[in-house]
Amino acid sequence: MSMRISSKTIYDVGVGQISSLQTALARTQQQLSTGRKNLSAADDPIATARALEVTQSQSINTQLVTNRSNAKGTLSMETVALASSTAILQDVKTLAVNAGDGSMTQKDRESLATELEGRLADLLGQANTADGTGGYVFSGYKSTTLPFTQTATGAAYQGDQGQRELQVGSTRKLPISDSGASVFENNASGNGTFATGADPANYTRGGSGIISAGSVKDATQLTGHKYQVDFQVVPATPGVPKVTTYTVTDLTLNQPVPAAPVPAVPQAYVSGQNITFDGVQFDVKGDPADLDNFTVQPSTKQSIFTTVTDLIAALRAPGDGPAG
Amino acid sequence: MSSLLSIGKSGLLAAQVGLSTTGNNITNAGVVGYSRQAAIQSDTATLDQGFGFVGTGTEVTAVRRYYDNFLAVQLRNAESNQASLDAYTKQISQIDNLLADPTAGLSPALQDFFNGVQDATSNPASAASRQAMLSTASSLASRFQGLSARLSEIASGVNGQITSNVGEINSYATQIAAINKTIAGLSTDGKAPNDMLDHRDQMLTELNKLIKTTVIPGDNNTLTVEFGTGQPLVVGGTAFQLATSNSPTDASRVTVGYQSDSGVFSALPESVLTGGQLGGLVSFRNGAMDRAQNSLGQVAAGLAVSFNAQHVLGQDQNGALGTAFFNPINAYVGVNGHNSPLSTADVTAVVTDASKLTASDYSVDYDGTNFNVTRLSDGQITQINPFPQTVPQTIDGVDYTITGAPVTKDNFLVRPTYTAADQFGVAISDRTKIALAAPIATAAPTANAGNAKISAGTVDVNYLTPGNALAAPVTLTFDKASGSLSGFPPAQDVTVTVNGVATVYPAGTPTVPYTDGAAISFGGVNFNISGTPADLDTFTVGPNVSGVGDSRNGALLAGLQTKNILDNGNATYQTTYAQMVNFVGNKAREAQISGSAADAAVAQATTQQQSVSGVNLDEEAANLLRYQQAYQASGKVMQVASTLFDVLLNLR
Repeated sequence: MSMRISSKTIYDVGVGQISSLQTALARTQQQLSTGRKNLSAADDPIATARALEVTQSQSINTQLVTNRSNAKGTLSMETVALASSTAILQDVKTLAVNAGDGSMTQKDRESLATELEGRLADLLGQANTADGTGGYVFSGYKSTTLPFTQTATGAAYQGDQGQRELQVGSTRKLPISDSGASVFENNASGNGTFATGADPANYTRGGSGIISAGSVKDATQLTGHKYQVDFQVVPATPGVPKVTTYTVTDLTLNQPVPAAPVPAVPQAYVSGQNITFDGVQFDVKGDPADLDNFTVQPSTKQSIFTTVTDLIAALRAPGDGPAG
Repeated sequence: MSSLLSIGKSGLLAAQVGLSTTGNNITNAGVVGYSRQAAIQSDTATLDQGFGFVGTGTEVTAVRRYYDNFLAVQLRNAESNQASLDAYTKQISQIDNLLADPTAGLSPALQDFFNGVQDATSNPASAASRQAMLSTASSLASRFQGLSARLSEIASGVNGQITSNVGEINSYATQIAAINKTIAGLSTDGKAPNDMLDHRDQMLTELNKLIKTTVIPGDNNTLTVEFGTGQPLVVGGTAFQLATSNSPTDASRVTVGYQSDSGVFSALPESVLTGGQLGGLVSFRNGAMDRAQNSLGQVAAGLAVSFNAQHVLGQDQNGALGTAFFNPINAYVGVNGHNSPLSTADVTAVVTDASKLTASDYSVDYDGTNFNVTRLSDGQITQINPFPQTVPQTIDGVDYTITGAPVTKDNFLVRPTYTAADQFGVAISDRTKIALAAPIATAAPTANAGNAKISAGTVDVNYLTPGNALAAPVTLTFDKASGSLSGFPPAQDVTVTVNGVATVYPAGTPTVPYTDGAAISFGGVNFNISGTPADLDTFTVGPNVSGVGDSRNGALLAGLQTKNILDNGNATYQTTYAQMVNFVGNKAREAQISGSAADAAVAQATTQQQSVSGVNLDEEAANLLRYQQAYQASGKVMQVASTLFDVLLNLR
């Protein structure tokens, strides 16, 4: 049985069909003009939500690229300052070696001292490198505080030990600065573990013994104590040659090395022969006088500015003694 | 003869009625709601002539409309459903389009803001970077406010439409009641005025496009019209009037109810307002609208509260502890207008925990003894205990403070996230107040002989407890003989955590054993010391004086972007926003698909209904010819009768 079709239905169906095709056409044109498949969240709710999350990842990644370039900029500033500092320290080293020339007069040394003063000022300038945005590279967190100011004994650090960091990956933070304290002040004296020294009175006693910088013989035996090496000299008598001996005392524990027997048995001194105890090893060359003594103590941290300032002071000191 | 003449006349009259009916069908073919009519003709009584029965002609017994009640109801219901989905789709499309634009939604503003935080973190001392961060924060705030304002506009549009729908429903109800009366008056002997029935059916159709109704036939061709679960709208000649009124707990939202003749308004539950535009609007408002506004608010409140919580742990460029970066988010509290005038109870609610915060609304009710807070999304009830309160009680990340003397049945509606997007604003305007630095700095002096290092240190929320903030450096000294550290602040417990095992040394413990790499904390300050310290080595933990180049707190603030904070630590800000977009998109898609289905159902039902009631002009043209010929033939019968009569007259 065929269905009755009203005249109204015939027209309505035709108009309805045209209208829905036009709607679809308009939608396709909109997709073309926006270049987007999903015009609104309703077109694909899951894809839209996912797309939102992906745009965040994209945005973060773009920002991390910016952060990395910031980090690179900051680090290259530090790199330049460190390279310049290294070059200056090479110059200082060269000057120090030159100063060792025995033929130098007080005036020559004075001119070296003056040149070193210039190098010291250069070094201070590098340590106070500005970052171009009103801050300083080596002042830690206190970026607007001038890191180093010169003092009579070197330079005083005004910054802190903070190390600035930057997020350069989703889970990676990169340090982008080093504090002035860790770069310029964290230099161990002596050989890095212990420092040897001579009693200034040795010279007046006429001793000419020179102690070497020494080295670590056995790290496991190191005590971190302070020691003193005392020399005893029995003058030569006819038929009997001069006898030089030494004893080592642990000043921290206030007992001889080795601990027994007390008093310690004096050891025979041979110029240039290694003296070894508690993991440290060094030698003494030359001819120590009776009661001459040398110290061995743990290294301490010394500012490079103090070192250079001390060097300048040493060059200016009257140097009319015999060569060491 | 006379009988033949009257037979012919009866045929002539019947054909005339047929022609009128057909003419009426043709001229009304395009009228909406018109049902085609047909003259129902039958032969008149026959006379017993002795030899048999002889017919006496024809008569029109009725002019009937072609109408199938089942198909009409089917079409009406389909159109009601279509109108409902149409209204829903129109509304949700507004939100859908609002969120659709990738350059205009919340997402770009959110990302720009965190990029601003990152840039400021990279250059903490730069005034430009700090200013840029503030301005991206302001953009974010205005985006939140803009989206919220647009949603509010849509909500107030819905209010307006609900009110106008109710007006139209009343108008149709009144008209249907009136036409019921007229039809009852005209319906006699089972005859009915076809045009009036069509008019009334058309009104029912229009009414159903506003709200879905059930129609029950009554006496004398009258109809009873009900909606929802049997709420009467028209009973015979009486129409009930609906009205709108502001919600007792939220003046910005209209509710629908009955209005008595004396003007008393009694609200109807929204569950009975189904189908038609009104049903679509109500379901949009209760479903998608509120959810979208609340979800957006959840992102806003969550961001403001969690960002602030981290910001106050930082130190600004002036060396002071950070203050709130964004304005606090106060929950919307609606006091029920029906609360007793004797009640002085007042509820305030402030969002304090982004993680626990939900997008639900809450009802706060006083049962005579206690206040109960009901989470409306799932009916979970939490009692305010103790009441009266001494401190605010936190429920789902919101601090409730209830004051005053309540009266039984006091009711408050608390909507923690509803207005959060609108309230979202930047609290600080001075760029130096951005707390990018951490408030503490640590150091291991270069004079130390050992190689132990101290970490940069962090602070937690305990640092904000009065007395815990470090005013001067704390110096810890290592004693080699006992292998312990001394110098901790005497008033604070020291917690040492080694491999996840925490040991608490009560305040005043003079020495704390040193373990390489252990996490040490006191008074909200956390750090660790690793390596081998030498005897008398010292470590300092102190205020971060002049630390303008430090951006440790900035990095933590920037990290919030990708941290799962919201929704009990399961979602980032962006995820929560994406969930909202996904929800709106799903609802819009659902409505679109159901809308297409409803369109098809309407088309189908229309075709069916039209196949019975619609006018087919070709058919009518045939009828026209048929009745014309019937008329001519009847005329011929009369002519024959006349001729026969002439024959008689000529018989002289």
